[in-house]
Parts: sequence; structure tokens; C-alpha cells
Amino acid sequence: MSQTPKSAIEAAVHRTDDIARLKQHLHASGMVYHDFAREQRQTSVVHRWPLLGELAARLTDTPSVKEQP
Amino acid sequence: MIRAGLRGMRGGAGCTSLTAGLAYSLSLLGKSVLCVDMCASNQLRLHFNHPLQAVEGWSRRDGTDVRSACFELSSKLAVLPHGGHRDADITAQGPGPELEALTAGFDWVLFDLGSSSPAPARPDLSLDIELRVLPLDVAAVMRLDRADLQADAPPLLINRYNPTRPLQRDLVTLLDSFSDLATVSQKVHEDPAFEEALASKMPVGYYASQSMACQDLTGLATWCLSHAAHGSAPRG
Repeated sequence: MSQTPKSAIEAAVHRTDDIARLKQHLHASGMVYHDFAREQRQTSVVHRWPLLGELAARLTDTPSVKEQP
Repeated sequence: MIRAGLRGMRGGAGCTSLTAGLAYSLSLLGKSVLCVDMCASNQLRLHFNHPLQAVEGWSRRDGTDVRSACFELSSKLAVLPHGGHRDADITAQGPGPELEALTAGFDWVLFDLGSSSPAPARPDLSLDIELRVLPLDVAAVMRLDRADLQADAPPLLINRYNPTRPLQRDLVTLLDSFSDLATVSQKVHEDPAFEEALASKMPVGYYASQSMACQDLTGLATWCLSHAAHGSAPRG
């Protein structure tokens, strides 16, 4: 049975993530995958722009770049 | 019938231009569309060659039928202006039961909801799809809070993306890093055609059919159709 439009949108739009799609397709939700290149890009962004670092810390409840040892 | 609404993360996010452009793109894809302006600024109609001085709209409670304020651009596209009556109670009530009769027969009803900051009182529009329009600049991104990462938060539609600017690319990278943040994969790029289209009183897809803006809105319309029609549409 097809989903209603509202539930479809909630289920479908979480984010663009090919790996998540692959896990879903393979029924391998327990598979651990690290995209190091992506993590590196994200780390460089929060170092390059202090305000973006503080926002990331606020949204994810982690210490900001400045607060980290 | 699918009911969809675009709400800005802040004023000037581009909701009105996107609503007009999306409505036009959906109509080109064969859907009949009614656009409803929920903003007292009353500007959605200007994208459809409506006279600046005209005051007809659903907020004008002068005894006339709301339907008389609606105007058709084609057999597939109609617009219901707000009317510009700046009364908070009237805006909170919305167009009322007459809207139901007006929307009958349309495949899509698009609501231009304006800015959500501060959040105005709105009628319950029973939206099937709600998109939050995020103009891609630092000040707008700073408005994100933890509530935006909740599972029930409407997805973000990134607007005015300019990938030639390093900071814009970094903002997208940052947004991608929030795994719980729902975003629409189709971004709308920065394009002067949007403003030129408004100055010409046309939806951007009609004004500049070869523009990046038109391509983006066609992509957004396809995304909307996909998500409305198929529960198993691709993520993002």
C-alpha cells in the first residue's frame, strides 16, 4: 500500500545519502561505514569558519572547536 | 489533491518567487495548480501580471465571495491573492471554508506561507508537504536550532546557492553533516532571473525558460510529484 504524501515526505527526504540507501537495499543496517573524506571536509569547515563551528557544536551538543583540548 | 506550502526561515527567503515558479513548473508538467497567498505583503499575484493597485483577495472581508478574487492564468493555473488586509485575526483564520470549494478540481494547491520568524498564527491548512526555504547565507543558517533536526521537522529547501563561492560550498558541507537534518536534494541556485521575472510580472519559468532557475524549479516540481505519488521515492 502506498504511503500518504505526508508520510512519504517524512520518510523520503531525510538526507541525500547513497550509503544509507545501499544499507537499506542490502538490509545491512548494522554495517559500519566511515566516509573519511567527508568527515575531513566537515572538520576543515568548522576550523575555517569559527561561527559555523559554534553552530555545529550547538546543534550536535558537542564541544566547539575552541573548547576541544 | 495535494496541499503544499513554502515557509521562509526568515523574511526575504524567496518563498513568493519559488511558490510562483513552482506553480508554473507543475502546470507545465500537466498538473492543475491553485496558488494561495497567505502573506499580507500580497505579492504573489505580481508574478502573474496582476495590477499593483488591485486590492482583491481573500482577506478582504467585504461580503464578496472569496472565489471572485481568484484569477486564472490558464486552464492549469490560478491564483488567489491575499488582498493585503493586515489584520492578524483574519490572517490566522485564513480564507475559511470557501477555500475548500475553490480548491476542488485542482491537482495541487500551493500556499505561500511567508516567513516563520516570528512564527505568525496560521490556520490549519492540513498540508501534505511543507518546505522551509533556507536562503543560503550565514545569518539564515544561524537560525537553525535543535528543533530543526527533529524527525517531524519539515525538510529544508536551499535557495540562492552559488557554488562558485567557497563559503556557500562550506555551508552546504556543514548542513550535510547533520545527519538528522531533512533537506530537499534539489537546491535552487542564485539566479538574477528571479528578480528580472518579478520586474516583468512573470513566473521565472515563463520569463526565462532556459535559465538555471527554471531548471531548478522543474527539478523541484518533479521532486514534489515524485514524493506525492510514490511512497518509496529516493531519499533526499
